[in-house]
Amino acid sequence: MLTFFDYFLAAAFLQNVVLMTGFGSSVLIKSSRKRTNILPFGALLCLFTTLTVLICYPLDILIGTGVVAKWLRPLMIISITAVLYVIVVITLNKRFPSLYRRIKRLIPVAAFNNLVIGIAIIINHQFAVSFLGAVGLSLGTCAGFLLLSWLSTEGIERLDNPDVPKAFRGLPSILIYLGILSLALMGFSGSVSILQ
Amino acid sequence: MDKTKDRPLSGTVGEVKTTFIDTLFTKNIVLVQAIGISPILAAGVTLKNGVVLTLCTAAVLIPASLFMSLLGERLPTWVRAPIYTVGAAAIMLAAAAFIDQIISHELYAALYVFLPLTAVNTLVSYRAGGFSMSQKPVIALTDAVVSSLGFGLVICIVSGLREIAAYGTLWEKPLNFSVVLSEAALPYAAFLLLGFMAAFLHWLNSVIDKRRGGPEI
Amino acid sequence: MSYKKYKFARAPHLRHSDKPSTMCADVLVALTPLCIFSAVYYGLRPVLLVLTGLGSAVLCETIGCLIMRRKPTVPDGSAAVTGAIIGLLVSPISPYWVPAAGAAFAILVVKMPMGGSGRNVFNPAAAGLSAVTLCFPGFFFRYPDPGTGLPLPLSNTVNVAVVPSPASQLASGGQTLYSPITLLLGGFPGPIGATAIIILIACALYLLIRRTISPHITLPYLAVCAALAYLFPRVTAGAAGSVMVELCSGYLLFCGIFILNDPVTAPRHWLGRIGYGVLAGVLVMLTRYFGRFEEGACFAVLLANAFATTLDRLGWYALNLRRIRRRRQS
Repeated sequence: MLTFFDYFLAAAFLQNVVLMTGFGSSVLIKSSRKRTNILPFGALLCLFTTLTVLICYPLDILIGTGVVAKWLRPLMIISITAVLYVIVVITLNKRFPSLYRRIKRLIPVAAFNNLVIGIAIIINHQFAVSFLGAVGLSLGTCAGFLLLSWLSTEGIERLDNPDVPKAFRGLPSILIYLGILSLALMGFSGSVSILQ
Repeated sequence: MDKTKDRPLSGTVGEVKTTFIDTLFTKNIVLVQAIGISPILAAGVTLKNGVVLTLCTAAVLIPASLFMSLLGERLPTWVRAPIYTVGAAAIMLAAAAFIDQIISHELYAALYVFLPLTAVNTLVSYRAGGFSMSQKPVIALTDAVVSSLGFGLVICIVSGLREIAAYGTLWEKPLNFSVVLSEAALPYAAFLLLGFMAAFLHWLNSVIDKRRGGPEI
Repeated sequence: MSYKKYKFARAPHLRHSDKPSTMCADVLVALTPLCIFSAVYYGLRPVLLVLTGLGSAVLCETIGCLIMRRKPTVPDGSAAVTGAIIGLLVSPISPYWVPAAGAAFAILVVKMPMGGSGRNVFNPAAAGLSAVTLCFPGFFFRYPDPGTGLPLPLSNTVNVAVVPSPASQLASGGQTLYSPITLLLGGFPGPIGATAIIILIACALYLLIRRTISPHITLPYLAVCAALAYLFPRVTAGAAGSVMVELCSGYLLFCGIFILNDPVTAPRHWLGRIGYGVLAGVLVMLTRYFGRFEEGACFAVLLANAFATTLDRLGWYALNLRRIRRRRQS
């Protein structure tokens, strides 16, 4: 029986969701260019992922697994995220206006991206997870994203040197960096097989 | 969204052509602007998947770009993102039902997770939500079409190569190949392939610049 | 005072009397007895495999430097070391193209695009080995019996009986077949250069004396591996026996001596290095307990490499915290 911590650790480290499934890679590359963006973006992502999963989990059970239900499920998930986004924006604007002004560019990207929606879709579709497991998975995914953001920022800084060939400067070397990190994680995907 | 300020273009034929070439090659949406990488990594494993995802992206991006170009500036900033995303999700619902019922159940099952993700693809949020908002409809339409083409080009090349390497087939027809690298279906192969394709494009751009005689902006 | 002024020179950062080629020459000298030891058991084949890896790496580096139109970096010896390490970590019965492919991947995909000699972020040998292990797992972890005394044929494919190695035994659990003396003397199946434990220890001492490798990395690494093997034994030989088998199996020890100490990818600061050794030890044991293959040290090293700059930063800040606080207050 896999518990909260099994899912958390698997999603964050052993089978980091971003590197194994590619969810959130574009957003990762964009947000890793500035070190100061990592924490606010990661926190917002965590907020949206966890809340979406928390709300969608009981709703999934309600709508069942019929053919039409399967078609409607993604629309339901995205609509819930949209509602959450509106709530978050209004709350931040009213309660913490200076914070809202600083991070308002990040909020739409953090709410509507592959990671948030993808995790909500995978849970209960690819494998039946308990409620705690679902929460563990979403929190673990965000922890993994934060860790990977940090590693990408460090990597981007290191690759910003004059010896990198001109053709590889910038995005190509970052992609290769992420590719080798993904290769490294392949050595871990063994007995605890959570994602495929 | 994008930090660079996209100045509104006036919609002349020349600018349409520049947008076309820019988004397809010089600043290819995937290989230079790093937008839309996620679907390629996980779902770009067979050529069929690649083509279906391209068509879905186009089906979502073109209406979203036109909508944002016509009405975007009249809406308050914070309400734009939910509107075009939910709209895109509704379009994808129709597309998913179409694929499931009319094309093939297996294809739908294989792409179940990735079809709705085209609605939240960074292509939609950065191009429709970012670039197209302050542009004339004709420029927005061109940009949407060409972004989809650029994305489609990259995903089809990557998925074709990965299908050949991993399964030894192309469009599910077997080829006479003896070397089968089953691990090419894993994401790391896509990352490395994209990295080298991006480097190749970069080199190609610099060669073209040199032939034209000096760097052009 | 800031951390930033300590960056942007090409690694390795040596004292003025040393050159990078001296370090690489030291490492090649240390790798030679391992190759000879394997030749004693298996004949000429292991030597040819190592030379194939070395040759492929040198060739790819030359081609890479020609394409990029810069000064050839082959004389600094790092390509030769990369190729030799890959050659030494394959099975004695693997085909010749396996170390060649690994070395080509290491140089052309991992080393050159990231800046070439002195700038690579990941250890090329570990990355090349990971790639071929992942893509062609059938050619790895299948070792011949050293006790037959017959030299292996020199053809590309070899049909010889395969016996379980200590690493595969650990993966399956149960009783261990190899006594501590056998493990130390190296008469057990394993990768070409990783079975001669006594020779490995002697090479490590040689490199430590020459200050080519750092005790700050190797010793914490081995300590952590031993501690984890003691706490979570996988074979029924008692805790001490389990430590012995874990440390001598696969290429754990080889990795700690030659791969982790790569001066380009390891942290510079001594405290950072200790953290690096500890992290690498934890990751290597994690790949052994939960990983896909019986020996995943090459994958673990790549992850540890990604953390190298972070560990440097942490080590520097940990020691300079008081000074920074005083400056902020004044």
